[in-house]
Amino acid sequence: MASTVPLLTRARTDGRDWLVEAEEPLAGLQQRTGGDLPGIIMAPALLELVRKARTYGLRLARAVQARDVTEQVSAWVEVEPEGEGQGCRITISNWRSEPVTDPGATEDRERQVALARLTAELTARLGPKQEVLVVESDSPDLQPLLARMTEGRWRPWTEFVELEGDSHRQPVHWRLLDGARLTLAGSDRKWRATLVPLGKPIAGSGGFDLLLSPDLPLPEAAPAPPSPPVADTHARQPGLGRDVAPVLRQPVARIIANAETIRTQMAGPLADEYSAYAADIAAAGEHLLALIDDLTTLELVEDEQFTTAPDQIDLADVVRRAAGILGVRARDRGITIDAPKPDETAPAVGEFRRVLQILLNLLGNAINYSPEGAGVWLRVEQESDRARVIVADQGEGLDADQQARVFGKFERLGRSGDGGSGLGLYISRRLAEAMGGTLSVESAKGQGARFILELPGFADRRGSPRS
Amino acid sequence: MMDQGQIPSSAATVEQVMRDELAEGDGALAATRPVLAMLLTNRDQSLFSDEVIARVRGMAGHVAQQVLLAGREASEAGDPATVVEKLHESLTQLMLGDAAFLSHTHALTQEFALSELLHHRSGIDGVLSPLLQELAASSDAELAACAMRVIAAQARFLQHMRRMELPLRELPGDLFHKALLLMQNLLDDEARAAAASTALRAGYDEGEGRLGQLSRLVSALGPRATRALAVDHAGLALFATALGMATNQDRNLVLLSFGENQLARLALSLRAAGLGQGALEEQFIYLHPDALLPEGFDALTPARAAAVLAEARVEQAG
Repeated sequence: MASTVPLLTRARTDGRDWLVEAEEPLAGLQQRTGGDLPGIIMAPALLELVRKARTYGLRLARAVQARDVTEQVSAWVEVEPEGEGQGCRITISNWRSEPVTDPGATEDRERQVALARLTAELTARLGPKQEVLVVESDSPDLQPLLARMTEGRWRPWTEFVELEGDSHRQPVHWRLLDGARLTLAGSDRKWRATLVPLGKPIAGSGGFDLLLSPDLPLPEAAPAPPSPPVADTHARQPGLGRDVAPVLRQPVARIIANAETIRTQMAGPLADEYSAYAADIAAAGEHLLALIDDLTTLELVEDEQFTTAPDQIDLADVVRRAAGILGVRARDRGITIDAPKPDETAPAVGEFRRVLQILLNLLGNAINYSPEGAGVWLRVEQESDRARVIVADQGEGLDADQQARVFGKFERLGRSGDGGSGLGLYISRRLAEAMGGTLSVESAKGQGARFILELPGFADRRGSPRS
Repeated sequence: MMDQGQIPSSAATVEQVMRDELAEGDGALAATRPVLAMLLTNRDQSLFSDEVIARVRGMAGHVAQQVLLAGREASEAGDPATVVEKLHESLTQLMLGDAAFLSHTHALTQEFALSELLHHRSGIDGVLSPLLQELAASSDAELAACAMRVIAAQARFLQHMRRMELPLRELPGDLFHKALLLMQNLLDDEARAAAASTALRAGYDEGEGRLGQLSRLVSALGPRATRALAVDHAGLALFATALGMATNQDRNLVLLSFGENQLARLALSLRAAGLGQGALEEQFIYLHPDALLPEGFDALTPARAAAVLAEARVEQAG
């Protein structure tokens, strides 16, 4: 159980509250929590005590608790400031450490995460190194941040926020960032981070869900137009997506949030069948929200002025990322994804997020319509001036008639009740065409399907003479 | 309240009952401070001759006097006696206007009153409890010295409280700092105020105060600190510190939870600290002899009790 270590531990800090000298076991704790020696004090309670002692110019003494990944530490700490502009001397006694139980396992933790999911105004999926994969936020004050995070994908999320008490060396262990207070550029509100580790057996090996919750909701204001005003020269038809979607999105999100509250029984205990009804309501709401998203995108791609950015991308890399994002869903269904090898490349021209959107749609379909335990193959090919990706599944396949209809608007091929809008492939094809590419299918009934996305390569563009 | 009627006994119901009780109690607590502030800032003292008010005011006045006297000592010129006289009431009012100072002195007043009551009702000594006696005679010299310092501090505390005094060195670091800032803001002579402040800061050591000594002793006890979770065995002061540290609550909040309308917080704190039903009921006999716990409370686990407490804290903050 509890272990006891030397009678007295001494340490010194400087005028910036950096730990400049420390004996064991404090030195060990500092390093295990991702700190340096010398470096800023990592244990928040100790940092607060030292900072107070230094700024007040007072000798302070308190019981302090700290934790690292595996241990909960409590100790009696005396801090004596050394003088104006200087650091402090720290004397620690009664150091006790006990192993911590995994917070992921406790009921409190579940409650906390459920609460964070309800209140989060910015959510992101992170990779195992806490790099940003996908970010979402509907809050008007977070839109600039959202744009930067989307742009700066694959960088650690901590680069985009300001942690209170800052100057931690990156990357910090996720447990120390979980619950951290932070400020976000463009927002006056205070935020708190919740990190939900994914993957087993090592928590975090499958990445993280990042939830940023504000201390206050935004004051009720006239809803800001979600898209920038369009040039007057182009007369626009009012449309469901553009004009109605923002209005619909909020009540639907509220329905989902409330249904989730009921389902998780956070508002009080409930008979199981009611909890199941609430789950149905939440699921139906999610589908409705997805439909609204599709309709918004639909209007976007049908707009004559819709253009995409001609980024130079590596198609193989985008494919691997799509496979990474949907890997969990595939594993749930026992489906193996065979993605291009890390050394494969296929330079192409297209807008990164639009290409990813198409691939997520194709791969998502392949996962959904393959039998359990099947495989999905992702291949990239490069021909003189074209780059191509093939998504092949082992599903039922499509006959000639179905192949002719599958890219149609609202085409469900006779399916119903699975929440699909019948817009995914239509939108994907329009996106592919907007980028100067094509999206086609090859299949035979009973033999699986091969969806082929073809984009212009960029090697040729560079080589071709400019007119 | 908890002692009315029969309550169904499923675990969820108990939690709900305790949660409601806790919310009610916390509502009462939250109302205390504004009411107290209102009473204190009212000049017509004949209307409010309550002991609590008098004690809080007395302590604020004492703190104000000490910092102003220190300011006078640092100066060599002028007419210092009148400075102290002139500014004493203003500084006292400033101290009383500070929420943190107010809740600290209020809690101390409660601690003193309850300590006297326990002594009178159950013969629990405010200075020398059985546990402190035993620790002071311990073969562990460090621990024995620690216990002796607590006994001495506790004796001084009761003496000061009877005189309605609060020595500067007994203030927690944050309040000490605040008192000096208030003094510096009030004095015209900045150089003098700064000199006084520097001298006072140099003489201060939070760990030497009574509250510091108490928590140092509980730290030193380590896993044996559970023995301090019995008010009859440890004495009120050590009991409050140990309960606060075991449940991660502010000691002042723990002290206020010993009050009449705070049964839920007390019951939950004791359970969260790991007390079994028998031990918990025994503590209730000392602190609230008339109260009954809701039926089924014995089924509430320490983890759940801690969770209910933590939840209430979030609501208070928000």
